[in-house]
Amino acid sequence: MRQRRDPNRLPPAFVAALGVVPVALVVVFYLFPLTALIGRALGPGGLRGLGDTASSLLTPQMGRVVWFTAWQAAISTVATLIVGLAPAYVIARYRFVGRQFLLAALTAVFVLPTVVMGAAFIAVMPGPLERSVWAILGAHIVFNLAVVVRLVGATWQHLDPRLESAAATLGAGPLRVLWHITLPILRPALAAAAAIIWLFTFTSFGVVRVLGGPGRTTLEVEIWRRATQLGDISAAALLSLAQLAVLIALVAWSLRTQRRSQVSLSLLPQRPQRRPRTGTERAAVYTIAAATAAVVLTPLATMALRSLRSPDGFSLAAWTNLGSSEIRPGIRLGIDPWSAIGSSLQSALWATVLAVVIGGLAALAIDTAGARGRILDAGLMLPLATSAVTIGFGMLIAFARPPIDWRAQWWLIPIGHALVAVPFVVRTTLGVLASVDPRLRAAAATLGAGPIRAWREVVVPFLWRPLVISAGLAAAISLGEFGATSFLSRRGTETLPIIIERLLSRTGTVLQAQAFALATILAVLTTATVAAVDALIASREDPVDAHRR
Amino acid sequence: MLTVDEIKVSYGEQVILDHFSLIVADREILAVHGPSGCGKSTLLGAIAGFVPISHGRILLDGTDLTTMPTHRRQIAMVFQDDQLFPHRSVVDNVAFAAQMAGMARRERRAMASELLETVGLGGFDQRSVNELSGGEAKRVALARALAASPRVLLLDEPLSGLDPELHGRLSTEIVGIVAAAGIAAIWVTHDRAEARTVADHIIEMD
Repeated sequence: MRQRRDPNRLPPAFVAALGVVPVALVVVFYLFPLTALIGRALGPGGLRGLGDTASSLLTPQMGRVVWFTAWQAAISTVATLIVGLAPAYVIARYRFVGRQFLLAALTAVFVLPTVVMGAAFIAVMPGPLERSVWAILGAHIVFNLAVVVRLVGATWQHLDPRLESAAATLGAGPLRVLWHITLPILRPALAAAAAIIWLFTFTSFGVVRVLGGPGRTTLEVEIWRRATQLGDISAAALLSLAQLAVLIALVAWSLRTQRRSQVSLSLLPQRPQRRPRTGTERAAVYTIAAATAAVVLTPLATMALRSLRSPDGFSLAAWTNLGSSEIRPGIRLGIDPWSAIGSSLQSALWATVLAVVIGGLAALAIDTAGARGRILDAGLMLPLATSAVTIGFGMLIAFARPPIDWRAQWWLIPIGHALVAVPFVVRTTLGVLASVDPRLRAAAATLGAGPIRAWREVVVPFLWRPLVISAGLAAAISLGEFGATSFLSRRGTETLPIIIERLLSRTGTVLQAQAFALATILAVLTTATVAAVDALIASREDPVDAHRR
Repeated sequence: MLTVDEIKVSYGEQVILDHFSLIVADREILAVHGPSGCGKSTLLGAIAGFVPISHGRILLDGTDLTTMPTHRRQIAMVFQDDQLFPHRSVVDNVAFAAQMAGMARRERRAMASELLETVGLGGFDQRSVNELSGGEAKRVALARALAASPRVLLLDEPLSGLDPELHGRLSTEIVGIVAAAGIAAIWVTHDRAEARTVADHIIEMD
């Protein structure tokens, strides 16, 4: 006999109502633009008109772009893993003065806008290396250290040090313990970190727009250059599509391998950090911590300082003329910095509201809709696998013709930002929803709560915390968003990252100082947002956590 | 009187309950005894209605509950791990059923306060449920179930994890409360001695 239908299930119409807005967003602002992009890529001007487009792509110059994109991503990934291993170990194993600060600094840097990181490396690198491969690699490493420290460190905390002691009693010296015991056990975490860093650096846009140049161009930048500078939409669309295919394949592959390599390690309880015991140990721990802090903070500090430099020495000019669009007699920005700050804040506000509402609804729908929920889940993750550049480019193509010529609409940018942020909102929220014991709902039902009521009483109250966290994240993403904005930005409503890049693309100490001042403001805004959220979260106890204790 | 008639529960290929039946009269405690993993909790879930059954019927005083959603069955349950709502205070956990029934806040809190007194937790109203000891949490769960004025009370290992002294005291308390409320109860346990002390009848499961 077939299983009878569960009388406690939420009404299907209710679940559908939760999902309708997120589905509409994905269809109208993601799938439709993506289809338009594919249409352009494969249409008469693109692949079908093989001659022109293909010949414009199959050039030595394109070969150099692909080669540069690949090798800089590979080197950035390996270098970040190597540089990050020591701080990951120290933070995972030891308790020391400044540990929390170091962890916070690494995390804060990770959410910094790419353009700010680019500006910081222009500021810190010596003149001839200002815009060089070294600056790009440096920016990528500093950016992604947090990934290694968080992911690898998390596994390291669970690794029983007695395993290493056991190896030592069997005659393995420290290096051989690292090579034969520690690294193999950390391999899944290292692989996960490598996959994420590779993805970020392969699609690096902001950093490369600021620090790159001829011969130092990634695919993302090339797509942008062809679409907006050369007007070769079809070729740019074809490149986007090719990159998207490669990325989706790689993300799918890495998710599968990660799932397979998840070993029983997670079962070991987390080990508390201990103070360094011997003098040597203490010296090593503090040296590594100090060196990491220096690597992470020096570029940013230098950037702030250089905002005070003018051709005649020290000057507050970059900070005092924020209200004027004329940076120097004769050089106009098109928008004054204060208005750009206003645009950025306005976009961030709307993007945050949109991302949180839509992401929250989507998470609830996914959590309650069973198999159909997984389709929505996958659909909402797509924007994550798609680069922001592709999202912005697709929107630019799709919304270019009446009756849907929306390119001049102010809300297109916040929607683009929200699309980039929604996957993070969904992930954060779903994780919490999954940890709510389904029997809590059963308990509410035995006490007379109907399906919707039970859901509202015992599931919805757990939402505020992940939603606040993701609101902070969404605001930070929107404030620094550069890829999609590069395509959607209009004269007069430019956001801070656009203005900063524009200033840095010209030469001259005055313009640079102005860019450094704005990048400092943007860095402070982003960090303050994330810190405010942290403080808000810390001030209220998490019912789920408290429950688990 | 609660009648469970030939119910079948399976998770995929695995059959947990195969044509299982029982009857409990009002004012009676039926102990269900068996080793862990034999399907005792599943049985309670099926009776409460949150574990779907593929065959058989569940009747309460002649009314067929089989397809009735949990919240209409008037069957309350003390979960093995309490399942107190972590985001609500002690008193608001106990007052939950009254809130669902539409009772005003002040009245339902007064009612819940009284029930907390009954289970020996007077003054615990505003405590967070996350600060309770095992025995206190168990008694809050019991008060919360009783506050629903159920027609049947399901108790899933209500004394597991308690120290011996509390174990004895609480078992007597629960028996007294069930008798006073005049309802039918099913008491699931893996402890044979406990089953013998509290129950009017015992069913063995394996």
